[in-house]
Amino acid sequence: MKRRVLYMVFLSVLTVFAVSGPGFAEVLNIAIPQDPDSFDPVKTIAAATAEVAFNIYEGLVKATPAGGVEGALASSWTVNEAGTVYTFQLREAVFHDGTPVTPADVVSALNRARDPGVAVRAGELSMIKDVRAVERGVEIELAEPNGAFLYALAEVYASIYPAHASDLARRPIGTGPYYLEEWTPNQRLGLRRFDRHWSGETPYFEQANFLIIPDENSMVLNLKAGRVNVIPRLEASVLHQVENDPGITVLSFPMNVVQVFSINNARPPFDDLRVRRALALGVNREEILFGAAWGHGALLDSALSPSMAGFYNDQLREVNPYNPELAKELLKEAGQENLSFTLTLPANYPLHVQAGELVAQQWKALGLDVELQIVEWGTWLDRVYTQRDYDVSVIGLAGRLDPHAILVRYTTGNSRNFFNFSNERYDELIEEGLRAYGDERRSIYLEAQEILAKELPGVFVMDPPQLVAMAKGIQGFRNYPTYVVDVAGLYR
Amino acid sequence: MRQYLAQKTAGFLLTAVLVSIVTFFVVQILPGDPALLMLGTEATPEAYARLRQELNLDRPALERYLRWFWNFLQGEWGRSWRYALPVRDLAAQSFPLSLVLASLAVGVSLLAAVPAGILMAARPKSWPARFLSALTQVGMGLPQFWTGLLLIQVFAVKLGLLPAGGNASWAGFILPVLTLALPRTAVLSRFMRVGMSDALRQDYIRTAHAKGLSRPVVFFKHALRNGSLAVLTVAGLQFAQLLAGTIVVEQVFGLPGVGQLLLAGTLQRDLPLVQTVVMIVVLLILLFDLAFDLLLGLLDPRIRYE
Amino acid sequence: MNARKLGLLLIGFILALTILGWFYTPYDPNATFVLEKFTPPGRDHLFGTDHFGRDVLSRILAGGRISLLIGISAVALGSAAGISLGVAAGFRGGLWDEALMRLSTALQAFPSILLALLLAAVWEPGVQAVLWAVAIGNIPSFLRLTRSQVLSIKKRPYVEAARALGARDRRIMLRHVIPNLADALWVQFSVSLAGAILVEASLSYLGVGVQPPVPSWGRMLREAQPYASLAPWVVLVPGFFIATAVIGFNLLGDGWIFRREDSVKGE
Repeated sequence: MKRRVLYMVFLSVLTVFAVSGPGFAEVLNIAIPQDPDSFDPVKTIAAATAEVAFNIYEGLVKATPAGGVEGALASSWTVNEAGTVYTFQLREAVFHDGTPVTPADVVSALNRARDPGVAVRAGELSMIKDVRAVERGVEIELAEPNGAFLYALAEVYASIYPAHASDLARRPIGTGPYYLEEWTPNQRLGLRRFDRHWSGETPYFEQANFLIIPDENSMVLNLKAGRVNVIPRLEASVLHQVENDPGITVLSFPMNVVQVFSINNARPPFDDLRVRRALALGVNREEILFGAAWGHGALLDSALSPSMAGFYNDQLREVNPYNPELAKELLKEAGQENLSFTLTLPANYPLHVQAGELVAQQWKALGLDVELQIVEWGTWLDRVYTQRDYDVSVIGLAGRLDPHAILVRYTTGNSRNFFNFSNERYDELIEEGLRAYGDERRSIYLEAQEILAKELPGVFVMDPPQLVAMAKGIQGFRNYPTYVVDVAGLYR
Repeated sequence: MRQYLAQKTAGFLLTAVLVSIVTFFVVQILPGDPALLMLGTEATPEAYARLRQELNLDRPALERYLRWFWNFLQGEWGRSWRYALPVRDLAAQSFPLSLVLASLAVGVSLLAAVPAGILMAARPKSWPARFLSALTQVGMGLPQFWTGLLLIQVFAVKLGLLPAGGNASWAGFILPVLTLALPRTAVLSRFMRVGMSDALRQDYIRTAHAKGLSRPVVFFKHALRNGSLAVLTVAGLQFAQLLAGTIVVEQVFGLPGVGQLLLAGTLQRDLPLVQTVVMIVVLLILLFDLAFDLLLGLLDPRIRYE
Repeated sequence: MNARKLGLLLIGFILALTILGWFYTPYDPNATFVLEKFTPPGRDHLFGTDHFGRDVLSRILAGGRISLLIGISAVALGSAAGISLGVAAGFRGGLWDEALMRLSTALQAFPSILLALLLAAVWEPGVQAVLWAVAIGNIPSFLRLTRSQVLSIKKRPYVEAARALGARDRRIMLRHVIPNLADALWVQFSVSLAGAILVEASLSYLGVGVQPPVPSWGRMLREAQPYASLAPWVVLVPGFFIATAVIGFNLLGDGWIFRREDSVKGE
């Protein structure tokens, strides 16, 4: 009898340890296809970095799953009446190295982020005129009111790190819920829970590993074999392998990426709107969605994805319906029935190559002569993006939190406008959008989207699906309109 | 002997310099601008110009070559653009892994191929020999990514016996090594078989038989020694090719070897990384080759005076 | 049936299909019918359809041309260069020999996949890049093979006699060296061809191989890989043809080796 009691005690102690004991660290393994580039927030460009860095760094504010911003290191902020001076109150927070976050750290990080001599995307913070430290906070002065400002502060490049940090590229020091413990390139990024996070909350997983697995089939097999728990971005082509697996949950979200057949608007005959319209009417987007993305994802009519909920124009579905007959007529009118052109595709994006293969067949059905030219990513960037030496191409443009950052690309003379698109009214609207707030700002962007749908810098196709595959039992995946994986929300 | 040594070493140095020049300029003339690749679809002209300056891309090519080669000799391999890490760290991590992979793959192949080859040579018409030769044919006929994925499917997913990838434990090496070893075993066992059957027909074997030596003694002592020469040469060659040639298997099993480094580096035009890694690979192979030659010269005096 | 006959049979089968594909395919190999994707093999589509609803048989017929074309022309180019350099190294000797041998070692160490990557960057990824990468990758083995044969033949009495009689190197080469090399070269040819087909598949796997819409067997297998469990035929069919071609070429090579063995035994 005594023995039995002892045994029971022993068992219950064991259970307690199993549930909460320090010996049983909860580890999460996440599969991603490639390495981040650099963890220096002002140097990084790769989306793969933002995905991981989101868990390590925080800014004054951060993005919310709904697409807004909320306070992060800033507990609150006030704006002066002119809309030009923002005052942020800082929280009591410490960096991963144990030093407290001071106003001086914030000033130095933001000044570095807008220094064109250092920061790659300094231009995106060019609205800032001055950053000053004040008592337990910072004051940021803008040159003029700017509706995109707060969103810009939530981007990776506006992350806050200690002024004394020296090797951020390899040893990031932030305030996020996880810190980078180990990084073996091409293999693994080991993140560990930061127990002194300002929120006082403790994420469920003590350790989170991002495993680099370039092969999409191998990724799925690793998930099935239990070595991987989460695949945040599953290729649509392997979806069927996990869809009916009882041990795996699949979630689907819009990615906030705009896939577009870009047209070189400056090159005849594509300077003729009738020709561009004919191309648009000849595209059967449902077929492309079905063929290349397995029916997941959202069709697009203009340059914003439906995931930009507050600004998305949902009235454009009928602007360019699939209508090959009308397309042929327009081509005849323009005298281009036998148009022949090249469709340049970036080899490293299977989704875009597949969409290109399908659309080429659709355009051929109009009697056009389409030559596929598949180029390496480096060549694509050089030829299509920089020199703009192409007829038609296809690419996915990454989404941002703020519509301005997405739409400014289509303004006349913009360096990222590889469409060579130019429309006076559009340029005016984008200019005005920066100074407007609330409903006024919204209606400006609605009109801007309508112009893009009608004037066709390119044919907007779809927002590809973000497919998340997780081992059953893992919960709490939060989707954001930006390219991130929020580890802190996950639990088992 | 001294002259022989000098000649070989001079040849080695000359080739090394030649290869460094070729590598540098081939990598340099690749279209696709590294700065542009780093910036992607968000590039602006200002950011681009600054990055080019930072990467020293605005200097003349000859100056960059000389500077790079000098630094390489001194062991200053610079920082990778793609990974923002010193090339030395990246190399220190990936080369040991690739060496292990290559040695294990060739070792396993040899262990399997020698007995298989002997069997096929000794009893070519027997059923096991026929089965083995059919198996080697199939082993050589399948693309590696296919066998690799198939092995994961069977041993990691279905049976749950082995890890699906990574090198966290020694067990993680089993499947990649198997994938690499399968076609190589097939090749080696064929060489073993041909070498053995050739040796068995030589005059001295007949003499040995005539002298009344027992069949096993003749077989294992004389024929095997001769037969395995070709096999060892081929195995050495396979090892050299595997050093940087396991890209496919690294991709399938998520292993951070030299192949992945080179692939990522080339696609991103990470010039410091690619140049240095290629140089190290070529130097290793040349050294391997030089050592092999010197050894031969030592063993066989005739070669020295040829 | 011996190895050589079986090899000839397999290669004959592959060649016949390829030639047929030149003139006739049941459907346009690139025509997509997305709604008919993954139609199982049946009367309309003997080998079923792929993820775009393209007819697999038509793509196999058209793709064989590309795969074999790459293999044959690459090995032809590589062997031509390798043999001439090998003859040069063998006859000249000295510094020439030393330099050529070292270079071929360096080339051998350079993975053909990396070579293809570099070439794909210089031109565009596609048939041309794959072809040249495979060709260059084949130079060292032909070079070494030729050189060693030249070295051994050079010392044979009749060649020394011919030289003493004032025969020129070129003549000696054509009359004595090449014929003696033939056997070994045939074996190397067939092994190289088998290798070329596999390299093409690996390059497709890494995304630097033949590019769409051009079908090649390697590319078909790569594109089909994710769907292996859903529609096994899209993987099995190109896999079968790749394996058949590779095994066929290897058997041809074996056949040559063992034919020689047999003739020796018959003495």
